[in-house]
Amino acid sequence: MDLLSPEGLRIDGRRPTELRNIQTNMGLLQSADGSAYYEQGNTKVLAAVYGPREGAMRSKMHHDKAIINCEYSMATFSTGERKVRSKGDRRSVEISLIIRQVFESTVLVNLFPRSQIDIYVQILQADGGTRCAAINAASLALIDAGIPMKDFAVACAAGCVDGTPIVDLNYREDSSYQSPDMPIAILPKSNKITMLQMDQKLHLDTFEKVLQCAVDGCHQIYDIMVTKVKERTEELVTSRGVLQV
Amino acid sequence: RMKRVDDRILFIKTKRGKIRRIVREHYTRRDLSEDIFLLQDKELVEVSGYPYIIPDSATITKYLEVLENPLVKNIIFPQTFTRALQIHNLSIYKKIRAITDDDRKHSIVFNNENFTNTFTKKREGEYYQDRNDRAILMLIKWLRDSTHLNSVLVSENETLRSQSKMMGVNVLSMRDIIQEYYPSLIDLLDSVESLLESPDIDDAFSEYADYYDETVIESGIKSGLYIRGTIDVDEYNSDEAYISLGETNKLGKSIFIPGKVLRNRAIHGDIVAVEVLPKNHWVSPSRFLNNKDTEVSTYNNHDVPCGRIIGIISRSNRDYVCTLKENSTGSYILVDPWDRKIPSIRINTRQQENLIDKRILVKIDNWPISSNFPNGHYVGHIGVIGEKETEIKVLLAENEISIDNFTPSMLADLPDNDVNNPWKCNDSEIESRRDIRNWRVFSIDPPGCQDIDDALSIQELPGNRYRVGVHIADVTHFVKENSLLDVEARSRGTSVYLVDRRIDMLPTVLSERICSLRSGTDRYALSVIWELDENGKIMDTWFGRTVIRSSYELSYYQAHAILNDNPEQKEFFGDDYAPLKADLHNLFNLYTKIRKKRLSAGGLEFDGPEIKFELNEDGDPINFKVKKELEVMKLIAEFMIFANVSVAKKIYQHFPDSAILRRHPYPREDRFDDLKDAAYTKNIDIDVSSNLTLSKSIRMCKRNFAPNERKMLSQLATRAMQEAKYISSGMFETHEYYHYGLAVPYYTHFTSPIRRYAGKIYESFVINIRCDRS
Repeated sequence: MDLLSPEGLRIDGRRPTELRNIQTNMGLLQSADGSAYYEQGNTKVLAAVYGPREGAMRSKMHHDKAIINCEYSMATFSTGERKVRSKGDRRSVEISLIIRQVFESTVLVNLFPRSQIDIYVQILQADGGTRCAAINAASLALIDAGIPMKDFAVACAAGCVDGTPIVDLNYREDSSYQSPDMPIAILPKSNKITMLQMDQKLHLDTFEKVLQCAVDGCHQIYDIMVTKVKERTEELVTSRGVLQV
Repeated sequence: RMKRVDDRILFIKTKRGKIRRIVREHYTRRDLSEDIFLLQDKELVEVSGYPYIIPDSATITKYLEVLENPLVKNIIFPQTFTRALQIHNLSIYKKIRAITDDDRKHSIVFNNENFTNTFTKKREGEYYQDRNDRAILMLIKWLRDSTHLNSVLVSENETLRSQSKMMGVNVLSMRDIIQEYYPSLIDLLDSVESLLESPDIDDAFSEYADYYDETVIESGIKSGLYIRGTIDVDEYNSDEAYISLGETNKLGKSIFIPGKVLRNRAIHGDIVAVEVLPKNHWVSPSRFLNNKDTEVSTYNNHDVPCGRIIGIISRSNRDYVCTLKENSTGSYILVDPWDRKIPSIRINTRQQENLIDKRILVKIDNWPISSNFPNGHYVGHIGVIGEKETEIKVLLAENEISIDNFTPSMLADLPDNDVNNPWKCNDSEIESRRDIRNWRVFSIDPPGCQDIDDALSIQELPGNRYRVGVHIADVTHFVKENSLLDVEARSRGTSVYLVDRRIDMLPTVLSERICSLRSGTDRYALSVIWELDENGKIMDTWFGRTVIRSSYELSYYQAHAILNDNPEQKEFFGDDYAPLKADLHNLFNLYTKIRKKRLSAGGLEFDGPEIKFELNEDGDPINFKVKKELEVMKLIAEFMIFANVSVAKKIYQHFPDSAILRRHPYPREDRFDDLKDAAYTKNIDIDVSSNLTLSKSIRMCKRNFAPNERKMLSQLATRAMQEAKYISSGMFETHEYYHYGLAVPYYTHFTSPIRRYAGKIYESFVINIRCDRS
């Protein structure tokens, strides 16, 4: 099955630069300090943030900054067939590490010495782009928890079919041999890249195009996330009677 | 503009047989109606009378061959069916795409499933076929209500027909469409329909083996267990065939497929998968068998690697010219193809008495495992056997050369040019080109030549230097990339020259008038202008678009006469004679030096004599003459080679990965055996290690061999050559671009854009590189 038809439509009917529908929700888990639910197409992710709080293991604490722990896991029902995954699953460990690295450079950790911030991300339904969705959900959850950050960390994946870059790959597209999969995460205000991965091979000339496509995708997602955060803030502020809006 | 409406829920069987439930997103959008409107805008003269056909799934599968016919246009394939076909029947899907990719057929795949106005969700408990029917009806309804297209649903499905009639939508059968709009295709329709009715003939031939499963073949080829190649049936013995291997295969040059059983129903030209037989099954081709061998020897050193065909990857599937066998009776008859490499074909026809003396076109459909012969169907007829016109058409058909006229829509974009209103260069275009109309430019061609694609100019410069220009007709200015005319020229590829006629790649109005560099009028050209020293060494090169005004259209004989100071020419040209003669002399001197350099680098010259036929008023040949070769012809050829080399180098510099070059690989040493044996009869040893040693050795033969013997040696040498090929520079190493015959490191076909499509591509390349106008 061709990922991109000669008429310029992908298998689900999107054009190469169109994202899937995105929905978000914040503050849904009361016991967590911050939480967010993030949906991108059929990929559904739940993120919960605890912290900053006192470190559980004294030996791991840092004297001048907070440490960030991250746990990424996929629910057994998240893929088409029920698959039992152990916690130490290689892929989960890799993605947990990636998310941690993104936020270590984004969160203002120097404000909270000798503390830890825990980020838990659970994939409820996986249809491609799970690590990007995980990062976006975690960003929103951190904001919900009120943890100060330099900027949003926004992630999006891109690929390319026959030289045409496509943004936001779903499961069929990222597992297909016809397109490489390049998930990236950026800080939108400065366009600094905090995560860049790629599988398959890509010619150096095409790389620039695909990277730009992913960055544009991140910006589109950023707009949606900012709108959501503003709405949420308005809600909170009016419900506490602080401002009449 | 995009709305998510649905999740497509599908149940798919995995390789192990488990059923999985898959959910996929499905978006609909509003911006697809533009595809349809684009069709409407292309209101081309001859397509506006034809309705827009929307075939249903069964119609597509059954009548695909009719839809593929070049005459049938205006087809809208609904995405509902192409989506399913891409998965279940890839070969039909590819053919549909071939139809929509061909601009001349004015057809599209319309994405009705992703279009908001024509998308419909599957209802609870509804079968998917019923949902598809509803989707098609919505499409037709939308076409009728929102566009001005005269659209027709073509279906034989009863439910669909009755429902459309209720909606007031036009429904026809394929036969109705053909009878009303394409009556010349009625034969084709009959044969397609009769094909479906025919039962499988069972010859009870039981020796063919089943083909291996596709996945087994694919993985076998990847792992090297099986070999993929094109099957080449032996011209002289149709029981034997070969599969060519690449140059570096350890098995040798080819795999031999002896006999019909091992060939397993493959037909000459098919791409097949071969399994090599174990060594003890290897035999020798019949041409090596000596009649004197009465004993079967256990060691026969003519045994070659043998194999058997285990699968057909793709059929070559062209139309074959055939004739009926004598005494053909009954409705299923065998026909003999004109091409000896193709087996007899079984067809079904009711027109036997009519066809018994004609050459007919037949297409092969399939070859069942229990059948002795392949099944095919009658496509059309060419003419009476033995008549000159018929036989010429047979040759053209067998070589897949199209003889259709250029359609009015292809000619629509060309400027007008007639006696009262001849085409002229346009001032603004002249502004954007280098104006060299004041140069003395002339062309030298065969007498009576109308399609002049090249012209030369030369000026003396101080310091014993010369400015030499080769000016080529600018075809790309008139034939825009991907216009209908461009697509047609591309599919023709080259002009074809027969004894009494020429089948043009481009319409006459271009080839003989507007593009042709006629004398006395302004013409657009693409020029290569060198500054050469007296030895022909290039000091500077300029490429670019120019405007020229050729002063003289010379014939080879005229140019030759001028060079030899012929008094008639002196009188004819008057005052112009002296400068023209000086130019020709200067060109001649440079030519001698340039040619000498090339030949001493190993360039070969084995051209045999060329023959020209004399025809009477009926067009029948009555005599032939050997064309006299004049040195002027070599002069022109040498400068064209010079230009091609310069352009090839320049293009390669700018497009190192994707330049179209022409390479001539080294011949295989063993092909020189006949030549070496012939020379050895007079104790001469031909050194074939390089083109230079080869030409030197052959020249040495001058002393020992008579003139006609030397001609034979040249011919034997030519036979050893490989064919020159067009290549993309990115696919080969730099040293492989070498042209053995011409002894140049880079070569291409830039100089004949009117009669060779490669020349036209080159013009595009040159234009794409920024050139200096000064």
